Amino acid sequence: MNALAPPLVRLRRPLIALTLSILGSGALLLWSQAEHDAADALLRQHTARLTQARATHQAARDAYTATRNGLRQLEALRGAGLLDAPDRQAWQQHLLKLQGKLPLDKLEWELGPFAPAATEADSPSAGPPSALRVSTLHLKGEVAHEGRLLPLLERPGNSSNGLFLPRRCRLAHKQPAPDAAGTPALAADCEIDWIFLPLPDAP
Amino acid sequence: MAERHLLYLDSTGLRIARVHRGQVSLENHFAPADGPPALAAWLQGHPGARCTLLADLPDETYHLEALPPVGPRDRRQLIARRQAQLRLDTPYITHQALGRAADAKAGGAPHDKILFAAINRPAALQAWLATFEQSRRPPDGVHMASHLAAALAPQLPGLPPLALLVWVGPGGLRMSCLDGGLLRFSRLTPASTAAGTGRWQTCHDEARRTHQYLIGQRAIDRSHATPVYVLAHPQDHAALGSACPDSAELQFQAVDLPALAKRCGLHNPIEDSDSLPLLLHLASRSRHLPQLAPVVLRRPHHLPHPATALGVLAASLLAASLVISTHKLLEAGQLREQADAALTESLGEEARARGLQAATPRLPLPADALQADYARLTALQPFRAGLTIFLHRLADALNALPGVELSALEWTLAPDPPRATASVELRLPANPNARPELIQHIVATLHHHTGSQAASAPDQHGPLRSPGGQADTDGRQLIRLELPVSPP
Repeated sequence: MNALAPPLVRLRRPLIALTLSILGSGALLLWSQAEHDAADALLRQHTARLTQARATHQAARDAYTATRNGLRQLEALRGAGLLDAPDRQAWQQHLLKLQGKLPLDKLEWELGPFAPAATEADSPSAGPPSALRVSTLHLKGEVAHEGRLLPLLERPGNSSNGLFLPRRCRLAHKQPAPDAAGTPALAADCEIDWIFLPLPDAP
Repeated sequence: MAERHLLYLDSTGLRIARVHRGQVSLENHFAPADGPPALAAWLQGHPGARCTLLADLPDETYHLEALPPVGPRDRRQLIARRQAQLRLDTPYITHQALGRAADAKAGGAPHDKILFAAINRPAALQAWLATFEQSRRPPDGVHMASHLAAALAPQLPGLPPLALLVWVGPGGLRMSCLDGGLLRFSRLTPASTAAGTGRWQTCHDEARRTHQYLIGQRAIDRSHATPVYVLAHPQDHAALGSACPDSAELQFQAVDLPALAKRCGLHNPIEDSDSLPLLLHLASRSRHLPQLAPVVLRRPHHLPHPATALGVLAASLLAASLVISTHKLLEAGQLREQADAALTESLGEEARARGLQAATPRLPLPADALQADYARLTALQPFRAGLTIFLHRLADALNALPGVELSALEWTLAPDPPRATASVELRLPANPNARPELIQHIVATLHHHTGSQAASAPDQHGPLRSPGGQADTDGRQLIRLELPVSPP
């Protein structure tokens, strides 16, 4: 031990310098690595935020475009009267008026209430539910000839609301009887939809 | 920093010279009698001094040996065997490779030439080396002064392949034979016989003697005159010329010693023909002089001082960590700049998104539902007067078909996708002979007026009944047509 002491004493300063160098180097490396890691984490965080912001901006652009397009569609529907509810009472009056004007004694009708328009796309997986409403006129009876039927298949003259749409109509000529002059010869069974798009009341 | 000292040993004693940046300064001279203790004292007084011993002693032996070309390991063993065979009885022996040569006349195989050099009187060197050993201060190297001749050769312009080189030093007059710039032989004539005005006469005599010896050794060809280069101060050139006339065998050529020393990088002024400063300077600059002392007596060169090694290690560690840390910090700075740019851009994107959201009006219905309903209404709208128009067109077609009457009609509008279909049942005229042509005519007329092409061939046969059975009321044939109706 004593023999080793003098060399160690001579090497005391270099050993201290080496120790300090190791400690300093280690501290320097740790500090620089910590700075690097912190900067890397910050970059990842801000990159993720940028990605989210870009997605939000793109969604806002898409929503804006869709809204502008929707507004144009609403204007078109409004111009065509398809946003206004049909006047069922006027329709009833129109039919009564025709019945009084024409001999339509053997004709019956039923003007249904407004109901959601059922479509084939109303299944849960077929997309958004439709807001369309429809009132269906069911005509059934006999008329003298086709000329008497045509006014019944047309929209009431002073109404432009909704979409007046004959959906189904079955006509059948009866065999004329030799002694039945003037009796109705055409059996009719028709369904006419009157469709419109109601808008919810503004809050 | 450790000082570099060159110790010049000749027969008159030991001279200590300090060599630093081309300057050679003689500091001490120890006589052989009391020299070793004085050297020990000097070594003790200069603990940081690094010493190289240069031996310039008269008793030397040179042997040229030829070795077959073998691998390094065999070569070492072969050299050791030849060295033992020389029986020189001295530990101070060294060897030097002089290159490869072939005995052309004998037609022999190529061989390596090795020059063994030894100091025959080891006692002249041993006492001094013992002092180093006792002082635990091994010298950096122990060399023979004769080997410096090879270091001088490149500085002598026009030196032929075979020549004699002569210089004067404190130890005497040394004459060396250079073969291809490498030492082949050397002889030192002691200073006692080469001093004073007779020095150059001694030079002449020694040159002749050496020349004869080398001819006897077949180292020199007697058919040509051998050039003899003599290092001398210009003030001695006249005396040299008169003492050393050229002959058929020898041609003397005086070399300007101060000019040569200057070319070699020595800054000391040379005032006489003593070549010692130049020799010491060359010894300090020559890195590969053959080592004369055994390895155990020399200071190990490859091991640096522990303190220096530790300092270098500490500095290297610190420097490496500084480089790595600087690199990482620079990278971190770049990453932070990129992060700041990303943050600025994301803030801008968020602000633009908020502005767009604020500027977007609210729809009374969800946009996708509105889109679907709009598409449906748009598709259905062309069919609103479809039935009325079809009935009018059908009436026009029947007006063009006398005798053909409508029996039944079924109109259907399928909503998704919107398409209208009319199924028409017609009663044909009573004349059966005209039926095939009439049916084709009916189809063409209907197509002409309604624009609809029958989806399938008309059922033109109707019910088949027994001749006496109950028929239609009027017995007329019925046909049914399926007509897809395009939007008006």
